[in-house]
Amino acid sequence: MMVRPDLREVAAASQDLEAVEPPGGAVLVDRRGRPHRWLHPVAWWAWGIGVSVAAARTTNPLLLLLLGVAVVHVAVVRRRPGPAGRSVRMFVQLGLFVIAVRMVLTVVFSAPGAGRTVFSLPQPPLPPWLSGLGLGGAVTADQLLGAFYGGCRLAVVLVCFGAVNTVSSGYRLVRSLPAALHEAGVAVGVAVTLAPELVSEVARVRAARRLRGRAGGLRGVRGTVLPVLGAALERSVDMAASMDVRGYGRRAGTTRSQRFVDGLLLGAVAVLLMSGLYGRLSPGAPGLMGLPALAGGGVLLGVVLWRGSRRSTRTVYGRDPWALPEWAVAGSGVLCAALVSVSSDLVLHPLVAPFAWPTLTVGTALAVCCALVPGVVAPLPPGSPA
Amino acid sequence: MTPVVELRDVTFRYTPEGPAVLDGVDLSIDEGTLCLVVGPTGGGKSTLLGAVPGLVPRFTGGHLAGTVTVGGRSTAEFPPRELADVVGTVGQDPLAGFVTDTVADEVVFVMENLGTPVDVMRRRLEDTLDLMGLAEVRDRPLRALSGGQQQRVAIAAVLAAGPKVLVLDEPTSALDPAAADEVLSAITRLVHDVGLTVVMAEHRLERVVQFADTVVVVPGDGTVRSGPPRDLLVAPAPRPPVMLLGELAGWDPVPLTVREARRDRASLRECLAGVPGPELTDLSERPVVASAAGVAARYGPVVALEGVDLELRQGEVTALMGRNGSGKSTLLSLLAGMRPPRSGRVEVLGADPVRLSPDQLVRSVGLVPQDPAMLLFCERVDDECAAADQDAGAAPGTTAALLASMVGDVDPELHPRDLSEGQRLALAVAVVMAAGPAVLCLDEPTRGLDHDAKTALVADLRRLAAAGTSVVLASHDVELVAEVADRVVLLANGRVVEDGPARRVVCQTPVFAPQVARILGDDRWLTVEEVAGAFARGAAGAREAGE
Repeated sequence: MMVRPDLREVAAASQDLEAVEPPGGAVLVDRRGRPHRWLHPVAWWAWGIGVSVAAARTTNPLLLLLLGVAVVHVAVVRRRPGPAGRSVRMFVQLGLFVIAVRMVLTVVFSAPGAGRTVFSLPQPPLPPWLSGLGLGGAVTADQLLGAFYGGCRLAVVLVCFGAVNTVSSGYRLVRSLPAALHEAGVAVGVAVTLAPELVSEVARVRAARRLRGRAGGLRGVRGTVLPVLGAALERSVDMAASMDVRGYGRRAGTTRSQRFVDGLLLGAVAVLLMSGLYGRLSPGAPGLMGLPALAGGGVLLGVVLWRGSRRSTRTVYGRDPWALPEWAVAGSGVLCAALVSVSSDLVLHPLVAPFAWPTLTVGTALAVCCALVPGVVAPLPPGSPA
Repeated sequence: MTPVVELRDVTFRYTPEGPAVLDGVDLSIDEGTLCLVVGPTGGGKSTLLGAVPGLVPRFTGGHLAGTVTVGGRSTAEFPPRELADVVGTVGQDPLAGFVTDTVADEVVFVMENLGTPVDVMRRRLEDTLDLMGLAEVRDRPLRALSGGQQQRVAIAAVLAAGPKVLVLDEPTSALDPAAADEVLSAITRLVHDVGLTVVMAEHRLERVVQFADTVVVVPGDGTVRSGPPRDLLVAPAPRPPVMLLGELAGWDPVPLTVREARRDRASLRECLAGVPGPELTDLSERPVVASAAGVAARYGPVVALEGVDLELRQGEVTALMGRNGSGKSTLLSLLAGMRPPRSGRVEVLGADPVRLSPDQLVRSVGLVPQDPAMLLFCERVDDECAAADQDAGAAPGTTAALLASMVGDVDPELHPRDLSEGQRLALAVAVVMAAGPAVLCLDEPTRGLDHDAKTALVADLRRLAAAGTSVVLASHDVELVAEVADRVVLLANGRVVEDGPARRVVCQTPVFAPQVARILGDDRWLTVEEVAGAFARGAAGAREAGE
């Protein structure tokens, strides 16, 4: 009679397992009964860009820290399953690295500031042609603080980008592009996913060098670069072949003359946009090169997209819907940027000389709350544990 | 039956003056058949496969004369992307071809490109997922799947277009035996139930011969022959052990499957009943040269190894077996000092390999990675050999002599990339062995090796072991393990499940048993060679008894 409790234990254990591993690709619901689904990628990007705009407008370290924590929190609770769902961690590390680099550069190369001197570095004599460069010397508190604040700003912008990548895949964004841009988008998307693999390729080649009994060093660089480039080239040809045999880039039904006209129009768009930008940015350019050229380029671009979309034979399976959660997520990003933008300069850029403690106002505190909204309103992605 | 793939007078050269890889080839493949393409590496197998969807010459360069038609469309007129609805092609490494992140997106990709209406797409996605047994993992990220699942997704991703022909280049070469069975049974189901035509290249004949309707032999001289398996797979063509055993025993017709062979086995078993098994040397008393004690390793939150103990003895060949992802490669990288264990101790010749300087390391342990080309970075074979001599501090010519002893003369001016797979592996082994390490680790050495290269590898490994090197190899290839290993260590989920003499371990589970053992049901006989040896001895015994 020892068998029964064992069986019950087994049954209980298997129920536990089911809780972790959903059966049969079933659609699950979260605690409040909403089905797991992908949030529209444009909503995630609107949120991410909104929060990074807010971060870019301030050097208040307190506000930046809170924004960063909010963004990481959202990324962690709404991350996609699998290895891609861990990428925010990499971006946090990158952000810390950026802060460190920025501070080190400030310490080594900068003109002396106005505040109290914290420590001094030896000043090596420089040749006269390098006289514009300040190397070493006194390092002041305001310089250090300024560098730290600026580094924080950049770090939070990076973390926002990492968070969006953690919750939403680049491929889903590409899918929601207009048909005419789709092919270029897929190419960019694939290139972006291949870049991190190049890094792991470098690690593999370096490991192989150790297997050959060679240490690093300058001679090692050539031995590393060539195999890595070779492998990358092979990989991209494989990828191109795999996409081609699956019908990517089909031109069924388009004639040669249509493609020629497309090419001509695209060239014209590029010329108009470039000359428009040049006209806007350089003061001496003729007036016609400015806004009129920019507007003309914009209109022509619309025509090219419309022509392409009208002719495209592609279909898109299951476009992500745009519903209430999408409005809430995108809106929270926009609101976050807006709340920070209207705050007073004194809050956004706390003084470093003389030093003033960074503070929060009601507006900026609300902005942080806005950044947190997707962590509650966004649905969980499919495939995440129940 | 009507042919769905037709090659008419096809000649292919990489350069106008170069040798013809395919020379005036005529071939037609009937609808609804499974066609197995066999032949040595570099013999034109991949060229033949690539010519069907038009990837050759559009992606490889070179010049193709003659006509190739698939489903009535000529590849000269239609580029591969316009043929996507007639022919689906899957490369060797499924991961290298994935465009999207999740299973469902990947399967839908081809249909979106073809402009399939959304309601049709929805139905076909479900059908394809069911057909390939992927419904359970539809929302899973591609990179989190097992090797067998990834291969099935890659097939589903071309199948969704509803092609008439499926072209597969070594679909099971990277898979463990169970995952390979899973993929092959899915493929045969497509041939039987859907009426698909499958053109497949595969070196591991023992896995696939039983499913083939037609065999196409590409011997490497530019010619191509096709016909039923029993007609074409005769000496000197490579054959799986089941056919070799059938020939040895004189069965007619020669069996293609283990099941067929079992029907005839009674007489052979009677013959072998009184004969003692092959002599085994006891290696358990040999000195231990490398050991792992309680080692653990992790990749992020994933446990790769947990509490693994292993001892490698001088002159012993140890095979690490287990599913994809069971920790075999990680264990090899720990032994070779590529990374420190998370806990536990690794020792090679009494030292921790991670702490050794690179030049000390190569003298105690060498590792040939899964892709042997990773080890090679010179532009010429002779430069590579000279560099290896210098790195190892060996006398000039050591590596070249080792290479010659394995594969004979190799053109010293060739780029290592232009060698055949077997030659490249031999070069990598020679480069590693130049330093005279006590332990040689090989990770999946037979991936992509043809039959002859594998036979050569077996001989080389046996010779190295006889000279006192401790050889440890991670492999899915049960026939290779049966031929070369003294000891088998079975890993599962990062733990050692079984560690013992090869004979005992491989015969305990049907998945890992070599064909001969499965036919005879007797763990004394693992390879055809052993049975042949027993015959010879048996005959001698009978003669003595007669006298």
